[in-house]
Amino acid sequence: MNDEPRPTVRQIFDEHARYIWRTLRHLGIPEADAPDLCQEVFVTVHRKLPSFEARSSLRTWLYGICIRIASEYRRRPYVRKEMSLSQPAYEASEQCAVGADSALEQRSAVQHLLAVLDEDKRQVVVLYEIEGFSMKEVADIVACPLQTAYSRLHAARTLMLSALNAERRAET
Amino acid sequence: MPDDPERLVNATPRSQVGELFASAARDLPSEAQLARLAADLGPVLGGAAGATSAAAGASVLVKLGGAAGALALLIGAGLALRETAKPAPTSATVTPSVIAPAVAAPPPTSPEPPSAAPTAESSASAPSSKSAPVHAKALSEAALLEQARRALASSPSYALQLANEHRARFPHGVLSQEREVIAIEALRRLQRGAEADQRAKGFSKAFPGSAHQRMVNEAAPK
Repeated sequence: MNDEPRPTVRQIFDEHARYIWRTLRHLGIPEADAPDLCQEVFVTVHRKLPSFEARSSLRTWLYGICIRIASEYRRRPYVRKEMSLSQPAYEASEQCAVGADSALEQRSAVQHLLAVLDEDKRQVVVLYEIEGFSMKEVADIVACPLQTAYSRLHAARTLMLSALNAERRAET
Repeated sequence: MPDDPERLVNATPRSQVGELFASAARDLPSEAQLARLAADLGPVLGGAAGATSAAAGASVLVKLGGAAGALALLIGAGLALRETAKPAPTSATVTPSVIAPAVAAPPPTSPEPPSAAPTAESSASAPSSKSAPVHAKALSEAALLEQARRALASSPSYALQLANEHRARFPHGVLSQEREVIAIEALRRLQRGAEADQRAKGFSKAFPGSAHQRMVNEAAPK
């Protein structure tokens, strides 16, 4: 454990909240539920920060909490039901990933693209491609072997490319 | 260990997927959304949960005070004590406990009378629907548990009653762990050691790895 002073929850919030929010959204949390899930993340941080032993970086630890809370959310019975009825669960779900121009279209297109992935692959893609973690950090956060994380990333890229190609074919 | 593959946003030429991920990185909440989130989290962010000193944590939490700070007080009380190897001495007449040191840290106040009914805040504003926003639930939970925490020293039976009320109203509440800590401490003060021990075992099973585990162990030694 290093000797650096432990940041306060406020400091962690100021530095990371916007990215936690972004991550939750990209993990498939609907915008309406993002504030509540963000709150759950920081209540958990508040509760567990004193026992954080700095075996991993604070950022890795924080995103681990974020991933777990998002995962738990998706397993809630009423969420599972809603998601199974209306995948993907985000705004403008009819938006295709092909030809997205405006910011809103691009946002929808990203969600549309990520929705082709199962939860495990989606976590890896979001953490690596969007949040910029190393693959070692990704494996730590999602608690899987490094090689498994690589496999998930590779499979996810293949799936996303296939989905885009299928959309292109459907358009022509 | 193989090198990490090139991120799609860094590839040249950037693919369509790379373009989308580049846009995704810019998809941040608005300042207004963040401000609302911070306001909802106010007690949590204002507390000194990250303080390495139990005394410092308690003092800042005490400054928050009131119902609005109840969430932080409740959690902070536990967390501050989690940092403490032994409960700080409070007074010659007060039995060391998992809650008492943090309770004793504020300036002396009159605890809620044991016969007092739950306040309007803790009863009238409590959401009953599972669909209620988490933050609203948390504040109502906090109000109820703050009342229970205050009653611990003067009337552990009332504290236990409130904790059990919390369990009935918020079976999946975000402060469930804090409730159990209060309930276990109340049982211990009531000399109901077997029940305290049983509830502590339930806590360990329900919340493995909890930061409150050590306090629970101290409250209900096997």
